[in-house]
Amino acid sequence: MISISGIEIRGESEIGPFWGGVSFGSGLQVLSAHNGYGKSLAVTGIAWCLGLEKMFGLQGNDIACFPLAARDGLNLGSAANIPVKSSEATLTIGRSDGFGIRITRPIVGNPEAIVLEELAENGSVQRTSKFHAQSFTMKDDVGGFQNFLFRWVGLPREQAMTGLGTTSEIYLENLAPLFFIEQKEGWTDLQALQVYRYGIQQIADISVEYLLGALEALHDRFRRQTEAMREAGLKASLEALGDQIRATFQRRGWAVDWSARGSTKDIVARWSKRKLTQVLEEDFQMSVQKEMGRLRERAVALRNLFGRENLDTTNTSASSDASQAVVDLKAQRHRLREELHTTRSQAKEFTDLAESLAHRIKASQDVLRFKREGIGRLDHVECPTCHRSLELSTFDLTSQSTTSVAAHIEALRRDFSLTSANVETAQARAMRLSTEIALIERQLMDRERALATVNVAVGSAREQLAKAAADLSAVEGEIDRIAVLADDLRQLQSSLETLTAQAASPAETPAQQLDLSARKSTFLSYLQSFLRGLGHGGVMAEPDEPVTLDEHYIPYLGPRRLRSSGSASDHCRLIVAYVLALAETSVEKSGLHPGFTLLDEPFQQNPDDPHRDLFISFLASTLAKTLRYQTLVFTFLRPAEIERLKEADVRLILPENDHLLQRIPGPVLQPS
Amino acid sequence: MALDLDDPVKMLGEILRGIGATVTVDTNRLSRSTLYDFDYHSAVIACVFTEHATVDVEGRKSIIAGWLKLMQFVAVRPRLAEQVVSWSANRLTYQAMLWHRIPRGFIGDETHDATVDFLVAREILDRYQDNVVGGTQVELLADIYARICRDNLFETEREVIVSLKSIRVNKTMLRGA
Repeated sequence: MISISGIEIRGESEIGPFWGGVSFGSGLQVLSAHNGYGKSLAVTGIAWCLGLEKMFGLQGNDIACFPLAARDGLNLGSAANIPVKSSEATLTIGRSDGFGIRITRPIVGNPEAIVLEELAENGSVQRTSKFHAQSFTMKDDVGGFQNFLFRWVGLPREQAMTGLGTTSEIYLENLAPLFFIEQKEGWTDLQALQVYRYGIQQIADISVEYLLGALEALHDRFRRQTEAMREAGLKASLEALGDQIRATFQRRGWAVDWSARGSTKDIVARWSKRKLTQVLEEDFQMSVQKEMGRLRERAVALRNLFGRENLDTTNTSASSDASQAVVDLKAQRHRLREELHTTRSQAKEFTDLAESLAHRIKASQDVLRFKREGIGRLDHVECPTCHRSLELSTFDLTSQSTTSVAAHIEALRRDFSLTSANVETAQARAMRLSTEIALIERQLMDRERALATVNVAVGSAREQLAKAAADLSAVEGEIDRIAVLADDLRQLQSSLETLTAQAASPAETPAQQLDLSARKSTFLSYLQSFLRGLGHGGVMAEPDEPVTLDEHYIPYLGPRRLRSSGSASDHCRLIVAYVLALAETSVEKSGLHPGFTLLDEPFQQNPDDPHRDLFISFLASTLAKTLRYQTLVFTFLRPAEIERLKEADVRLILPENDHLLQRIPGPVLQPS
Repeated sequence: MALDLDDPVKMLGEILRGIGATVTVDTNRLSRSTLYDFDYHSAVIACVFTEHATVDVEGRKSIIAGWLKLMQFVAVRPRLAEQVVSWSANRLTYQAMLWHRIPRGFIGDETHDATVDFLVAREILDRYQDNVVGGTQVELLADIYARICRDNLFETEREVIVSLKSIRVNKTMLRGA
């Protein structure tokens, strides 16, 4: 557990060196100073030294998070807008065992270079090291700042899954939105400053679990995410393989239903039922082995014709046979082409119809919404002469009921589904016909070549020999094609078996939720307690309604999200209650909260008197004073409020100067 | 065989029975198309009128009645938009070969005529010669159109309506000649 001991800003201006600093103690304390004092500078300095600038939507090392005056021109005493030559922030952090660190990071200068001094219990510097603020901050074991910080604070480094399926780590800027509430955006929502751009899945939920110390739940979540990514990758591979298998079959004119619909488990179950060669045999009556055997036998028979004794010299049919084969193939090609033309026309018409139906469905859904939400209903008119109400039916018009429109949408969906099926069937048929035509054309080319050879041969024996040679060439070509098919099927079957083996899901390990449940329950208990202590309107108005958390740790009051209960000023109370409850739960359940909470300008969100009074009452309450983690509030208190808090023994930091930054030397602020 | 001309489903059933077919009517599938719904028509008219109407010499928003009828007809049948564009491109040189591209169906769209009659009775629209002009409550149409845009309804219809703003036709063509 750590706490912030102090923040200092120092530098060199054109009129000389300047400095400003605030020291903090443990527990709850309130720094009260007027606007323009430099509270934001101090708060930003803390975030800057912890390398949290990405939380403000900036790139690493971007000093835009600092007030403009601190970056470019300072006001020092009576001198205004003095150019800054160099500046740096120094954050001193104490650990519960008495040791500490002092982090110094340049603001105007090289913000990447952090100088870190490790302090002994007596405050002496034990070691000074240099770190990179942003570059490989977690990955670099030697120079990474966050790597060192996590180790020094005693926070474990945890992996998380990104949307791209790669692993990332949980960074400090992912945890900070739950204990560092900055004044501009921090109050707009729970974890408003969460950094989502790293693409870590469910990072908001993960951050809560991390601070609660629910590492088992975190590991279980990571395991489930890893499994989901593996499954998604596998599904993509199965889909690609399915496409390959369908294409291989379609190239030969066979439309096979080899889809990758459903879960990987479903796909594996479906695809494991039959081998590809079985599909070919059972659905298309094509056995690669038998076909190969038949073609080989035919090739042998044709080769035998070349023996003199096998020729029938009286047989003169070779020429007419070759000619007839060409005629038959041409007729077949013509029939197939006509069929293909018709099928393509049908496919186009079905596609057009499907497009129209899709539009009709969308339009009807809009009509349904239009009616349900009563947008611009004009169905009433009064007769200008008799002032009688005129119905739509007077104009031969009808306004359908929402039930009727819903029924129409259902009917359109059925039609769309049927039409889509027709499109698929027509396209598959077109593909099969194209393949058949290609096959016929190849055969036709062989036959025409054979006919040409036979026609130039003289004598029946030569004609028979020429025809046999051409036939043999065609058969050998066919054998080659069957061999390629067999090879394709073998390779696809092998890939299929590899993938289905990978898809055999590992034994599911039950989720370890017991630890998380206990932590959540404590968190809820504290949350309710702080909401009541802060006077949350929604909770106070419905004291019997239970406060619950959904699976994303969003609080609910009964059936409603707590954020939408109560008044607008309750929003701020919800955020305070949430971050304090997390901190207290972490103390009680040995969680992984770093140890301090910072609330910057809670009053600025709603400066009206009742809101201020409720918050001052909370700060003065025993509940707030017994907070076990360091809680820093940066705000401006009115004199009467200061008196109330002083009476309640709340530690206050009340600066005497107008500005935090002074020309050196300047005073160090201490808690009263 | 006497046919019941008032009930087209019954009529179809009788014809099918006449050739020996067994007729089963699935009442779940009998649902009236939203193409004949008043709300849909009035919404599309609001879109067309707001986008296409121009201000006449008297300061009223005005649109050629035939153009309004054609635009709303095409907007709900976006596949016709392409044909309308090629048809309009030849308005100056009549080509007999293009006669089939003219979406004549819009001329017989009685639902549109009835909807305009209703809107005229409601004083949202008015008729003046060949034009439909804004009535005393014409701003209701602009309000509806604004809501439609804000709620992102009828996106395709609106796209078609806007895309056809650049084409020009003459009144003779709008009579279906």
